[in-house]
Amino acid sequence: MKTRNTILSLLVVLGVLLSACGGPVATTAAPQPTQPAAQPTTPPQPTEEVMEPVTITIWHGWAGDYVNVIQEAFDGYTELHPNVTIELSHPDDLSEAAKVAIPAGEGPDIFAWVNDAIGTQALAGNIVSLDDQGIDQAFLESTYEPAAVNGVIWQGQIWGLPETQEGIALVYNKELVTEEYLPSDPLDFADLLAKAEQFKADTGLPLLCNQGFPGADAYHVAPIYFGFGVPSYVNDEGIVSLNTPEGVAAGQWLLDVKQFVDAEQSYDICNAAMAEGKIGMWWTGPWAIANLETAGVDFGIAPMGRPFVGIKTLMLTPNAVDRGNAEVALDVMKYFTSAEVQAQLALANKTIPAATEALNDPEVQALASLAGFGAALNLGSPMANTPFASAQWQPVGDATAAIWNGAQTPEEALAAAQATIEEAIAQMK
Amino acid sequence: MNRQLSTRARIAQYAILIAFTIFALYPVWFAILASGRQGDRLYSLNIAGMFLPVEWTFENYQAMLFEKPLLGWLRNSLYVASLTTIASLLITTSAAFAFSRFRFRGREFGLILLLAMQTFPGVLALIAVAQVLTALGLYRTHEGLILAYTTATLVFSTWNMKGYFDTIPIDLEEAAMIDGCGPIQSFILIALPLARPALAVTALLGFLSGWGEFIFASVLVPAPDTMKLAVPGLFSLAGDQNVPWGYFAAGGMMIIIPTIIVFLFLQRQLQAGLMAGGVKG
Amino acid sequence: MISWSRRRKFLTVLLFVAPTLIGILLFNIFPITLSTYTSFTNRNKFHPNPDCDVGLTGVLDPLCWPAFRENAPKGLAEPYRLQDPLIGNYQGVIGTLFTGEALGALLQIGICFVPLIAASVVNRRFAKMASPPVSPSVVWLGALVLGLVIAFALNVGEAFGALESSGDFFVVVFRTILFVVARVPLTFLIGLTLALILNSQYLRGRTFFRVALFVPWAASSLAILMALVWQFFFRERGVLNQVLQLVGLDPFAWLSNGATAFGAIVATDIWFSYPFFMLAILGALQSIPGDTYEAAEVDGASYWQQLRKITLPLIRPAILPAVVLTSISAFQMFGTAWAITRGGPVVSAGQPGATEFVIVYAYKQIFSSQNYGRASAFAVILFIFLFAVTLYSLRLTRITKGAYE
Repeated sequence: MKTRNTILSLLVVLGVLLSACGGPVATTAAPQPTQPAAQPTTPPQPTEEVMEPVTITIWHGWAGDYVNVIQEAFDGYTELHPNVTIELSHPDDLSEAAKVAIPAGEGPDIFAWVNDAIGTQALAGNIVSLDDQGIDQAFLESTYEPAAVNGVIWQGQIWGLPETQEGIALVYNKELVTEEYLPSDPLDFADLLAKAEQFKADTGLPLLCNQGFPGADAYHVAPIYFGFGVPSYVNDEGIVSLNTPEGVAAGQWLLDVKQFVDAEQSYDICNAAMAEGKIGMWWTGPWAIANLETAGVDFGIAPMGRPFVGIKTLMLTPNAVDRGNAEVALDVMKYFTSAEVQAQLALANKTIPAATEALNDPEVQALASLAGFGAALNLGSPMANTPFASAQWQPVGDATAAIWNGAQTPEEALAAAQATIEEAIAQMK
Repeated sequence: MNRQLSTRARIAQYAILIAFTIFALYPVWFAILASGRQGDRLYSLNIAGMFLPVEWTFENYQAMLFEKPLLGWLRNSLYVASLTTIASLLITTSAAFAFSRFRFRGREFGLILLLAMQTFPGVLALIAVAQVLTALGLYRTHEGLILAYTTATLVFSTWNMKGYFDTIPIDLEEAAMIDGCGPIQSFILIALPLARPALAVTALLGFLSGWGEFIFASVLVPAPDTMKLAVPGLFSLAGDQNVPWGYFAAGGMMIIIPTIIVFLFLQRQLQAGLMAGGVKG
Repeated sequence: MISWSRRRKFLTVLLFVAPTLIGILLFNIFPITLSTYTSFTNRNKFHPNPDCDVGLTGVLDPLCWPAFRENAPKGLAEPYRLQDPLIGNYQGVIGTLFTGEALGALLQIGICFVPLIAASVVNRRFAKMASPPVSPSVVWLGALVLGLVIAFALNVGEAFGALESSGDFFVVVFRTILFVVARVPLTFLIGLTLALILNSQYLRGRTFFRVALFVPWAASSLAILMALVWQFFFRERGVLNQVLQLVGLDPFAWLSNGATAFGAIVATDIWFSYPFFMLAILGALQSIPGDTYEAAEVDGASYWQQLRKITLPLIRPAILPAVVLTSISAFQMFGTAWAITRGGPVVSAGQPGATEFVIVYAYKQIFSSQNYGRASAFAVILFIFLFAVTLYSLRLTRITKGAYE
């Protein structure tokens, strides 16, 4: 009994002590919703002349070592504008956290996310159109690549500034995968299948690793479906094109390739296997390159199929407008997506910038990853930012899983997926 | 049962015990092994590496302790969990005492209401709870989280304490009342000291619910990074694609092992508290 | 209470109970009310925001409260409205269960349970008689056989298939009930066995074993992490397969097969929950006075007879509420299932996966499809169902009695 009492009282004391230490951190985050945030607002002037401190909060989906370089980029902005503090934060469930935070006035100033979120967030009112903030089409077209520009426009309004483009391609181990095993034509899947068979026969190792094969990842299997001729899962009018001969052919190809690869695939599995030379090629995007370089793998990049072209975007929230931070936030966004910063990031993170000048920078052009991924992006299909598109992920992933598991034949699986998506879209209208 | 057993029976008993001990301890041991392994190499293990520390490095622990704000997260969790414990003790014991001792209209209704509230899936109430907290101005604060956790422990703890109070004979309090003691005094001076084991159970449950909970914490305190609790903070290290197993396991170990120690310390009281509390018909 | 004024009594009770009531009001009753209201609307991704001019919406939805009204996001989407017909969501969730076909199937399955009910009635009658003509176990056995015969005769399998294709509700609820039926008795048995062993005084190293066997419950504070560890055991290159390969058997894709994935989740959940039972039973065992056993031994009872006739009945009042509460929380299992299989090997697009339990299904509806209206209707139906079960179990155990009764 005595020991328990002591422990409890210790806990109480600890709790009280820590509350004293943790106090300052907690209290800054609790302003009343109807008042502006605790930081003073900046008058609408060019930021260089303002001496009042401003804090810009960014909620992002970047992860891993990516973030370190990105943090340095933002530190560069703070050096130029010492009165601006930039806070980066990675919430776990961005969408849910936003939904609660923004009405409360506690949301971030900037969202950093892939452009397929634009439709949903705009519908919900969690992001504001940039047309009102002084960004127009001319500015976009003069600064960014056309695909990126298209990615941030929805329903005739501009919703964000693009920072990078991404798509997946075959990252192959140069030591294991010699010329003979490389796909000759990015759109020739029969050839890839034959080479997978041959590789397995010659080396006993699987040629391919793609985390989308076992299903539940419609993004990673997209190059296959689209490569076979499916125009898109769901187009802008809400028409679904899954249950087509091309789609079924793609599903059949998945079944065929299963014999030559591992049944269980995931990002971690492919990552580890690639680093240890146990697979030939990893179907992934620029985010994985850093790991491979650390592991010392001599890799090359080959395009295959028609991958999704995702645009990583920075979006502005109504909270920023309410707080009066919109100007500064927009300035930060422009800075981060500008050619100079993106060129630096491209060199460090091996990403593909959306800013045209950065893309044309000779150093960036010389990056091996750029050539390979760039070619893939040219073949790619833009990721739709309409809310219809959000209905596509789960069913396509499930259909692929059913095919891979053997639970259904490609025809059945894709028919079921088509029906599900169409039903969901009917509910949307 | 107290009887001498045949040797065969005793061997059987030890065999079962040992088998279940392995069953109980192996996953934790595996997590310890994973925490000492570098990076993401969880997936290319050979059989030996799954049982023995074939390679060991403290790199993950160092990274978690010094590079990532794990200590800050642990501190936040400790704060939230301790205050949840205290609040839970205060609120549930008083309510349980009332349900056990007093006769008032709506007593049974209140008890059934408590139980019924637990049957609604908590996950679905998440957004509503978040908005209630926002209306109270407690969004993104640790205090709001404490409120949410305390209410989560209300049901089971109140029932448990009430059951325990039921087993304490009422004669003591009736005698005290004849001497002029009011209900509050009899609560504090008589009932509480006698209910220590059940108090320990309630305290522990309150602590646990605040320590390891994930979903509510990740929505109610999503940012900034320094304010996150331990488990959501740990999971925010995972990107969309990659799961840094080494960091996870190391951080996880540092979160679990204090819990195990606290548990072991209190387990005697726990047993007494569970035995008689809320479980006698 | 002796000589209390009514007002004083009321105030005192209020003092003790008020914090609990307020907590429940804010954090339990309000969300349930809001969810019930949402279940009558068409709120989803495309109608996410409320129209504050509609009466009830303005009162219930927090976004319409004065504090938030100005800052409320004004997106491009239409606000959500009440469904037309009002019970549209409910129709969508369980409507198909009320068609003639489904009801007939339910009736078919129900008929198979009639012999069992008859058997319990008969047994109760026999228990009152001094010397029943037939022993109770024979009655149960006969009822079981009769039930199986009827099941074959009526082709229950087909009825089942008809029910499963009637929609998600039946499938998901049935799977969850199956999970509870698999998990709770197993956990009880394991807890009972371990408690019995740990209870004997002649065991050496008792404390060590008790502590070691307790670890899973302590580790459950980081349930998600440990569930991920368990998931790793069942992977293709995980521990289980590696051990199998070591002894020369083929590896098996445990998580890709519906039945084995189910088993994996059951195993993991047993790991998390058996210490609770073990402790509860151990405590109850230690409250049984030793003389009872000695008296029984003098009368020549064997170990198993003592177990059945003395131990089990004596711990029953203590353990029954725990079993009830555990069953209810097992029904609401989410974290473990989500971490290991995310809803299980996929059966088909648009259908719940093989291990998609009730809360997993609801979670997916809310956070993946953002189908708030539908999901809330599902939750409300579930709530009513569980509430009824809880009420019935309360009558069974009569645990609402207070100290004065």
